[in-house]
Amino acid sequence: MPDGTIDPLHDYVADLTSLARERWSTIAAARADALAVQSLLLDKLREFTSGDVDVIVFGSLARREWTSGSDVDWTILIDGQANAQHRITAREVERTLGNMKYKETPLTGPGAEGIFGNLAFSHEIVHHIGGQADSNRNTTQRILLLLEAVAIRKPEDELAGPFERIIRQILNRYLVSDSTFHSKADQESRIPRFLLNDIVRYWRTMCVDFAYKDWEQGGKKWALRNFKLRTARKLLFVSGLLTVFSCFQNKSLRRNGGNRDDYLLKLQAHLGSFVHSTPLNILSWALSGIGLRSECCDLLDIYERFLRLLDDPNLRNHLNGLAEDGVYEDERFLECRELSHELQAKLKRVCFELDSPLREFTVEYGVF
Amino acid sequence: MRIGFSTGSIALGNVRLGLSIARHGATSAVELSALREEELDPLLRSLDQLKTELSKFQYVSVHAPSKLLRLSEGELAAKLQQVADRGWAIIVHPDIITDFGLWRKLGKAVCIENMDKRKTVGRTAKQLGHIFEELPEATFCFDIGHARQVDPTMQEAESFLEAFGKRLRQIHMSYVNSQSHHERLNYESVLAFQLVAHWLDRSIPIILETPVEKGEVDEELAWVEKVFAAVDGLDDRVGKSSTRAP
Repeated sequence: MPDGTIDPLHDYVADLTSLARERWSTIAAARADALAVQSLLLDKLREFTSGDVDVIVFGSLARREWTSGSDVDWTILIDGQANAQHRITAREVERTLGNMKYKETPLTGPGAEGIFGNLAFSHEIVHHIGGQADSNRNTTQRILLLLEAVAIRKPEDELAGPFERIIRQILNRYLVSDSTFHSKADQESRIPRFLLNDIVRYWRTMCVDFAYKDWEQGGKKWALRNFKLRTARKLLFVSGLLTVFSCFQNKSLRRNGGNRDDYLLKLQAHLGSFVHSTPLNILSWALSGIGLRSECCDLLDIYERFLRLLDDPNLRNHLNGLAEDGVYEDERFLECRELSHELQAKLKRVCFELDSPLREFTVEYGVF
Repeated sequence: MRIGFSTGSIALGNVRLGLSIARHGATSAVELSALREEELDPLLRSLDQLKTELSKFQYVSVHAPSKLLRLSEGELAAKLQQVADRGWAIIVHPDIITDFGLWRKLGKAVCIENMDKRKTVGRTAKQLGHIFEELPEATFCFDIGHARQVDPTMQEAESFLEAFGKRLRQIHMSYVNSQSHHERLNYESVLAFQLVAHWLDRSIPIILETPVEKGEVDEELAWVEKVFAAVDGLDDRVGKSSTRAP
């Protein structure tokens, strides 16, 4: 395992460009566009934030993978006194976004599922991890806050709003409630299994929900959703897995007989750095750190092609219009499917076939 | 352990009344509050007259005004020179500082406090680091209640102590609620403070910013004992049955 921790501000993908066979121009453009949209939102939405309220964006915008078809998936995150005014704030955020454009194109709000474009409260997110009250919506909000979320706030305003405060409390819950975790952490760094299990659970939830939406929506937009599930959503899961993997045999995270509370806070800070990074950077950091740079470049090549396809409005329209029963005869869908198979094969090689700490970790913790 | 109260938290601007309550029980430290600008001149004028009352305390500090409406920053710094000359700490909120040169003249008497979540500067160790770069001699007033309000997991509290532990001159202790009001210590605050208690040198004075009546002083001091119970190896650690307990 690479020693130390990730720098959330560092662009690890850029570090690998000299080794790349292809130019990752779409990845670079998607990152630049995402940062530009975030900056635009900061300008317009700052007035809706406070010490108790943050506007959070998720999805491709938070992953810094903005393409021409990206939506602004947002949520009002609240950590403070209940206030009926929050609903009015949410409506005003929706209205403001509805009037905004980026590169002459209107920004599009979230879909109709209700996970986004809504209010989220800290108490549910922090306290209901597992159990009857941990609804699909709550799990989704919580895990996405960890894996692909950004607060519309200046970077130097860290801890001024609820986002960072809640992130730390969620991570704290995963560590403190993992009863076997801290008592045995004297020599080797330990794996936060509670967190790992929730990330794995969420990935499987996304897959199950894919089938659910297919059933509910009668196959509408099946092809595009399938393509995204097999690529962007899968890589999101991998980044969560690699976040936990970063604790595996990590010498800098050993407790070494030190104070237990210090150890937990150190681990919490370590995991928090990953929350503020992106899936592509986490992938690049982790694989570079275990000597798998070439494989990482292969994965980034595939992802570059994925983003290029996704950035093509003709292809998106085509996939959106495909009927489910005809997709396997459609050349363009089969092209997308082939790309997702390449990604799967490469991830399989990296996680299960090549001799590395990642293989050891995946076999030991990834399945059972 | 040197421990005591802020006169402001128990009697607002009435320093004499504050001292009369603050001297009860096993207190040996006191902070004289001039949190409001108009309280500063009366406080400074009375310092010599308060010699007898103050003689009970091993440690005395002064809290500078937190907002300047009539005084200029230069006038404030000049007035506070007499406090620095007594060798006392001057507790300063970092957001009132705009001209660092004025405060540099007061040397180590300047004791910078970390802020609550309402403030735009001084909430995090990173933010306070910029202040100490400008004021290399300044000391640190660790407001553990503010640190808990900003980050209830106490990760930020630990960052403060790791970064500025060597500058630590005074500790502020209270329960700071979500509206940023200082309240009396309670189970929740003590549970959080215990997480970083082992970082706190017991020789550092603790000033309670908790609103207590005369008859409540001992009870409040007992809460502080609980903060350090685990460090001292005592068995009355709050929350010992929780998953966080050893």
